Amino acid sequence: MSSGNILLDVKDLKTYFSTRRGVVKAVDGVSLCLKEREILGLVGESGCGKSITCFSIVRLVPQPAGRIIAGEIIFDGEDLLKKNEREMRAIRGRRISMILQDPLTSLNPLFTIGNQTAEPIIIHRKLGKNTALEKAREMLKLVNIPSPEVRMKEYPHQMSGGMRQRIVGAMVLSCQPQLLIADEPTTSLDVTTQAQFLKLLKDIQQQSNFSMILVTHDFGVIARICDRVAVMYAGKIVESAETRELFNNATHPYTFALMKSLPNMGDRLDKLYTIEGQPPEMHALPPGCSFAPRCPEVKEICKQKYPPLSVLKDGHYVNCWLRT
Amino acid sequence: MQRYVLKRVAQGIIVLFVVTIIIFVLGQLSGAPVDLMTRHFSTPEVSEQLRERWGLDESLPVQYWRFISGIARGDFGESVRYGQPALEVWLTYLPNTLILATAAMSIVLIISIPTGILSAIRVGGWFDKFAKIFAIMGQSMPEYWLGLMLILAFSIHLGWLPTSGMGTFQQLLMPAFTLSYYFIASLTRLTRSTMLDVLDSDYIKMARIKGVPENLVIVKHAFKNALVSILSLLGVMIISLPTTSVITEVVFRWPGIGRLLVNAALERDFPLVRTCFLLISVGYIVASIVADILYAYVDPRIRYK
Amino acid sequence: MNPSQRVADIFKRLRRISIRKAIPTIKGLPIIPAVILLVFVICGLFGKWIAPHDPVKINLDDTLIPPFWQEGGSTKYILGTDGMGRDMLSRLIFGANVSLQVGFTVIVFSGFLGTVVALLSGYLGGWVDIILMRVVDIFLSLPAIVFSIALAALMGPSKKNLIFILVLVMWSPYARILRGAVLRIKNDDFVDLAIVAGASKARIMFRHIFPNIFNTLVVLATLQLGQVIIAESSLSYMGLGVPPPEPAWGTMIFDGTKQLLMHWWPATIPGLAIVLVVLSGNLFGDWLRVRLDPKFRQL
Repeated sequence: MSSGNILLDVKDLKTYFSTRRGVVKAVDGVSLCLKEREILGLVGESGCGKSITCFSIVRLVPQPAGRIIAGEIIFDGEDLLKKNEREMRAIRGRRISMILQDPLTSLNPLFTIGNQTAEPIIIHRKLGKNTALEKAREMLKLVNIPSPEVRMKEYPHQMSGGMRQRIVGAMVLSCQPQLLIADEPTTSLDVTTQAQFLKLLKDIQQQSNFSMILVTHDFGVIARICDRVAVMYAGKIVESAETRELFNNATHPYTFALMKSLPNMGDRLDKLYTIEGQPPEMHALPPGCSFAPRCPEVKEICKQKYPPLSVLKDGHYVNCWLRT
Repeated sequence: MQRYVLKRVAQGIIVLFVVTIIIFVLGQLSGAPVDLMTRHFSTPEVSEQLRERWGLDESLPVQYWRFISGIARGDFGESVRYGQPALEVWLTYLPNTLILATAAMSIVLIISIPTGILSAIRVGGWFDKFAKIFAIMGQSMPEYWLGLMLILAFSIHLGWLPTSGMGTFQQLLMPAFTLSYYFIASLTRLTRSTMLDVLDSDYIKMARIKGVPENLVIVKHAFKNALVSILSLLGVMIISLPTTSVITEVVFRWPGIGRLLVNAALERDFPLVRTCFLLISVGYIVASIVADILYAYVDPRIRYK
Repeated sequence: MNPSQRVADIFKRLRRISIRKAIPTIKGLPIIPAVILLVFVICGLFGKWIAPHDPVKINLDDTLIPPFWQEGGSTKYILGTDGMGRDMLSRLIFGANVSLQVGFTVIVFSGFLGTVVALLSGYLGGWVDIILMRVVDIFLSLPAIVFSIALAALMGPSKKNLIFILVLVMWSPYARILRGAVLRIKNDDFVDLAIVAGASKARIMFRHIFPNIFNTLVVLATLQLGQVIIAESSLSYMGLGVPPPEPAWGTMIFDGTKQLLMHWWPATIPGLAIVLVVLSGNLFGDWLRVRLDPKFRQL
C-alpha cells in the first residue's frame, strides 16, 4: 500500500469567503495527512467545504471573495502557501493535478480532444507538438479509450459521459503527478460507469504510484478504493480513520448518521433514515460544535465549546465531547 | 452543414417575399398614392392618365405581379424627385453609408472588446465601474441627441470639427462615433458578461489546474469561447449598422441611403421610399444569413448537427 | 441559429448585468430613478395643471430667453424659451404627456399581442406554434428603424399611425421570450391538475399560465419603455412622428437644432429629459427584474 512517507501535510487550513451576508468560514481549521501511494477519501454533505479544501491546496480559491487566511500546506517538504503564482503554476498539472465533477464542462468545447490532452504535456514537459500528441495518444490508450487516433481529432460533445471523464483522467495524469485530487469524479456518471471509472483509477494509481484525495458524498465509493477516510462537516474535519476501521467503529454521531442514511440492498424502502435538521448557515455558525443542533446525543457542553481532538486508536481521530 | 445553409437561405427568401407583400399592401392601403404624388397636378383628367400609365387601375394581384416582376428585372420604378430610376439613385448613395458603417464598426471593435475583457478580468474594480456607467448611458441616449451634443461641443464651442458633409477624416469622426455609441455600449456589456460566464466555467478551472499561464487562459481558452457568443451580436451589429445609420446621417447631413430614405419619405417620393426600404431589407436579410452561416462555422456544435 | 434564437440568447446574456450597486438605494429600490419616473408620470398625467405657461401659444416678444441661471434669464421662464417664444418647461411637461401616452399605449398593445401569440404558440404547440413563430421570426428580421420610417412615410405622420408602427416593430421580442416562459411552465404540475379538472384550453392559458408569466411580461415592459420613448422621439425629430404643434420632445429638439449655433438650450434640455427618463426606466426595470423573477437574478 503506502510507503509511509508523508507527501501532503495540511495543518490548520482556514479559507474564508466574504459575502454580502457575512464571512463564510468554508474551511475552518482543517488538518489532513496524506502518505505516498495512499488514497484518502474526503466525505461530507454538499457545502461542507470539501471542494474548497481541494481548491485551497492548489491555490485556486475563487477570488476576490475567497482567501486562505491561515495554515500550512506542506507538500513534499515545501509550504505551498509560501510560493508565488509562477511557482504554483509549475506545480499545477505537473506535480499536483485535479479532476472535477462534471466531465462535459471540464473539457473546452471548441478544442479537439488531442489538443486538450496534449496541452499539459507541451507546457510542463516542454515537448514539441507532434511528440506531445503521440504521448497524448498513449495516455488515451491507457485509460481504455478505443481507437484513440480517431478520437483525438474529435470534440468533447461527441463523446459519452464515461469516455469524457476518462479523457479528463488522461489529461491530468499525462505529466505523472505525485498527487491527484478528484472532486466527486463519479457523481455525474451512472452506476456501472462509476464502477468502471473507479477501478480504472485504482489500477493506474497502483501502476504509477501517485497519491490521491478522493472527494465524495457516497460511502460506497469510499469503500471501494480508499485507504483512509476523513469526514467533514461545516468546514471542519470531525472524524478520520482507516477505511475499515471507520466502517466498523464509527464514533462521531455525524459519521454514524451519514452511514446509516445509505440505503442498503434489502432495506425496507418505506423507512429511509434521514438526518434531522438542515445543514448550518455557513455565515452564522453557532458556538461550540457545529453539529450540535442536529445531534441526537447532544450534551450541554457541545453547544458551548468546540470539542478537542481525541485519539481513539492508532490513526483514528475524532472531535467529539462524547468520546473524550 | 449544407442542410443548415439551405434551410437558412430558404427562410430568408420567404422573409423577403413577405417584405415585398408588406410594402405592396401598405402602399395600397395608405390611400391612393397617386393622389399624393400628383398633388401638383390640378386636373382630374391628368390624374386619370397617370393612373392608367402606372397601371393603378388594374386589379391588386396583377399590380403585385407587375411589382414583383419589375423588381426581378431590376426595375424599381422611377424616383419622382430625381427623375431617375430609383435603383440608380440608391446605388449612388450606398457607398457613402458603407464608408460610415465601416468606420463605426472599427471604432466599436477597437473600444468594446478590450474594454469588455478588461472589465471581466478586473471585475468590480474602478475600470469596471466606469465602463458600466458608460455602457448604460449609451443605451439611454437618443442617437440624434448625442450627435447634436457632439456638434455643440466640438464644432460650435471648440471649433475643432466641421458640422457636416463628407470627404475629410474630420468630417467622418463625429458621425462614425455617434453611430457607434449604442453598439459600443451593447458590445462592451456583452463581452464583459460573456467573459465572466466563461471564466467561471469548469474548463477554465481545468486549464488553470493544468498549469496553463494566465494570459493564455484568457486569450486562448476563455476568449475563444466568449467569441462564439460575441460573434452572434457582432453579426447582428454588422447587419444593423447600415440600417441604423439613418438618424446619424440625418443629423450630420451625411449623404447616405438612410438620409435618402428620410428625405424621400418627407417628400412622399414613393418609388424611392419603396426602393430604399426593399433594398435595405434585402441587404439586411442577406447579411443575416451570411452571419448565421459564419456563426455555424465557428461553433463546431452547430456544424455537426 | 435564427433571429429569434439570437434575440433570446442576447437577452439572456444582457440580463445578467446589474449596476444597482452604483446608485443609492432603499432596500434595493433605486431612489433617484424611481423619483424621476414618478415625476415623469405626474407630469404626463397632470401636466395641464402643473405647467406655468401655454406650451403652444406663440409669443414672439419672448423668443430665445435663456434658462434662469444664465445671464438674460428670468424666473418667469425657468428653463428659457424656444424660437417661437414658448416656455421650455411647459413644453417639456406637455411633452411628457405625449411620451407617456405613446409609450404606455405601445407597450400595452405590443405586450398584449406578444402575450397572446406566446400563449397560443407555447401552449398549443404543433402547427399553430410553427406558423406563429415563423411570423415572429419575420417581424424580428425586419430592420426596425428603416421599417418605421418607410411605414411612416406611407401612412403619413400622426400619433395614431406612430403607435401602430411602433407596436408592429416592438411586439415580436415579447412573443419570443414569453413563449419560452410558457414552455417552461407548461409542464408544471398545476397545469396537469387543471386539465384533469376539466378546464378548457383557453381557461388554462389565461387563468393558469398567464399569471405565471406576468412577472416576465412586466420586466420586459419596463425595459422596453426606454426604447419606445427613444424611438418615438427619433421619428418625431425627423418629422415622421407626432406632428406639430403638439410638443413632443423629439420635435422640440428638431426645432432647437436651428438655433444650436447661438442658443444651446432649446435642443439640449429636451434631450436631457429623455436621457433622464430612459435611464431611470432602465435602472428601475433592472431592479424590478431582480425582485420579480428569481430566474433572472445575477448570482
